[in-house]
Amino acid sequence: MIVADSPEVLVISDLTASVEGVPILKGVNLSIKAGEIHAIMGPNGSGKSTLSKVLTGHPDYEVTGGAVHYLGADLFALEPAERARAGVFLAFQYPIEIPGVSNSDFLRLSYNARQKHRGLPELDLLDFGDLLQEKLPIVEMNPAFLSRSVNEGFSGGEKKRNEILQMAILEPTLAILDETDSGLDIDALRIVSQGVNQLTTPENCCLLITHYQRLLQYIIPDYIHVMAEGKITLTGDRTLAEDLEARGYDWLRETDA
Amino acid sequence: MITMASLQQRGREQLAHLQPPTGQEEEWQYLRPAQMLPSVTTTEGQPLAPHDAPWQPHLIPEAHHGLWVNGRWCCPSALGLEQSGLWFGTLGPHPSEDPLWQRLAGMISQHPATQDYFGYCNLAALGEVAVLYVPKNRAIAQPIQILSYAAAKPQGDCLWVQPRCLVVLEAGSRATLVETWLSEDGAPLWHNGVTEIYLDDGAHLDHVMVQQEGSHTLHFQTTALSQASHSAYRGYGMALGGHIARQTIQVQQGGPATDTALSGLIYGAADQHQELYTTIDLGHPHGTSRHLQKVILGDRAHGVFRGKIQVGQRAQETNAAQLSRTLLRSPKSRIDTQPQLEILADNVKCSHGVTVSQLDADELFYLLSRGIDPPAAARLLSYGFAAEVVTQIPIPSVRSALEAWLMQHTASGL
Ligand SMILES: Nc1ncnc2c1ncn2[C@@H]1O[C@H](COP(=O)(O)OP(=O)(O)O)[C@@H](O)[C@H]1O
Ligand SMILES: [Mg+2]
Repeated sequence: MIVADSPEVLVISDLTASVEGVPILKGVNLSIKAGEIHAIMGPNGSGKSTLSKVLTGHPDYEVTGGAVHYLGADLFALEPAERARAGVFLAFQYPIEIPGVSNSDFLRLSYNARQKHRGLPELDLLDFGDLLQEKLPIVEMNPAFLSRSVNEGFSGGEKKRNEILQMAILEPTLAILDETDSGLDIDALRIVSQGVNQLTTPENCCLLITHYQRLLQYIIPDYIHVMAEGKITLTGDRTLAEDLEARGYDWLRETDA
Repeated sequence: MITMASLQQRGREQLAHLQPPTGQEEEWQYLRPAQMLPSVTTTEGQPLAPHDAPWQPHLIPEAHHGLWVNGRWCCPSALGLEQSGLWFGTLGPHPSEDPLWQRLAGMISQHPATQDYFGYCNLAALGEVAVLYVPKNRAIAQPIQILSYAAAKPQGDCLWVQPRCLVVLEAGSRATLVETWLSEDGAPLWHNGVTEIYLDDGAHLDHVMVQQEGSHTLHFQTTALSQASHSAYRGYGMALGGHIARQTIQVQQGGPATDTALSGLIYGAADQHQELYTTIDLGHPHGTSRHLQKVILGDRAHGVFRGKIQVGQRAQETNAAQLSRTLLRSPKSRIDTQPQLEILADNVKCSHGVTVSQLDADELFYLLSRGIDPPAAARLLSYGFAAEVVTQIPIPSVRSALEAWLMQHTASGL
């Protein structure tokens, strides 16, 4: 929702970044205020995931220019774990499997890291169990998934639900969802979207990365940006998604020319 | 009549022809005992104050216990012969003409794996032998724990302890054995232990081994196992401590349809050197074996794993699998690992695999992206790597103690 005078959570200015010396982001500008949902759409390979990895500090991606301010401070001054504790969250396009580490241990560890950072009490096994019971219905997750290893042997949809469960537990200020809709059937898409909708408040904001318009029928964005070749080339409201769906990304190239 | 003295005598005679390995031998290329073994040793350890029992936290609450302290058996037998033929105690300096006593004594040092320099050193110093004897078709529900604890005198000579155990499970019997090896940090110590295990037809042994020796201990342990047909052995080896440690496990399948399973963890940090040499000899039809070995090394630690599988000509329709996986947590840690297959039968299934990896960058980043700090993330990944073998341990208290140990230790060593 667009809220008048709401503070800026994320301001990206002229951001450039490269992978293995190859420039991928070529001057990204974007600003997101509290309460807003932004969507970034664009063809495969345009740099959407790269932007999400740069914002969260993946070591493979090198920032070569520009600036990013998060809640008014330099985001790049923070280590990846610090960014997370400060409220930046990425739902991975391809969630990682961690054999031998139980999902609930992992969730509790990350929850307590965030609590500690906020000066709030850490939860023991029992109290955290109660918190989980409260959060599980948000993504309609079977409690059996808590005792299994993180993402190991989960289906694509289960992995994505697990990502949203983590979002529900960590309550981020900025949630970046990278292709959370890809590989989901309609049921899973509905569950995941409902989860995200439940978690959006006037205090936080959300950056949805998607290739398809389908997700945007479930989560209604305030703004849609189109990314092409490492830049945001077009910004509009939700009707832009329908244009894109009808006319394809090639239409943009034609208008460029 | 066999006596401890006659066994000792045999050990001394054999030793007269033997030298410690020099490093020329293939299986001793990373350790050179001839140069490394302490030249001056003592069998007198640090005396304990009354009521002092530093091993106490390592006693398994649900088990019967037997204790070696500074190389001497110091526990009255917890269970006696009287209990319907079950025996957990020792063969000692007072020989007996009892047929069972004589039969058990006659099994000592019969396994070929005990007939080498280290085995005969142990035999030549024989005082008592810890014995677990389970008669036919009996199952002991409670685990049996044999714990060896040693502490050298500070500034004293190197303390040499040589505990010896004999485990005999008669046909159709079943038991769970835990061997725990402990010593104090700081003062030099040489543990040279031998455990001989004989499983008769259809017997089943679960065998947990936890090596948590001190930082100055040289630990040699030979585990010699002989299995008759349809018997099953489950070995769980946790090699965590010591300065230089080597375990040799030799398994002989002596009849058809015998099953051997080993799973283990080697954990090395600082400048630890850890070796594991296993041999599984499948000599009969329908034998099976599985071995999953995990190795985690940090700092400047060095690990060596050699897993030999021999499938003899008569061993048709056998199935042997071995997988070793190593996690190197630091740039200076090092592993030498190599499967060795000697297959003479044609109708067999034999698989082996070796992986050596570092902490996975994407797994690490995933944890960081959830607010977990790098050291905690590395710890969690190392813990997860070990979990597959640790969770198999069939005794809950041992399992949780190891999990706690891992949680504590995997935080450092990067
Ligand atoms: N880790 C990486 N290593 C090498 N190339 C990469 C890596 N990540 C992304 N790229 C390259 O960067 C470009 C943009 O990729 P990406 O950000 O994943 O696009 P999108 O998410 O929009 O499909 C592609 O050409 C891709 O091959
Ligand atoms: Mg992508």
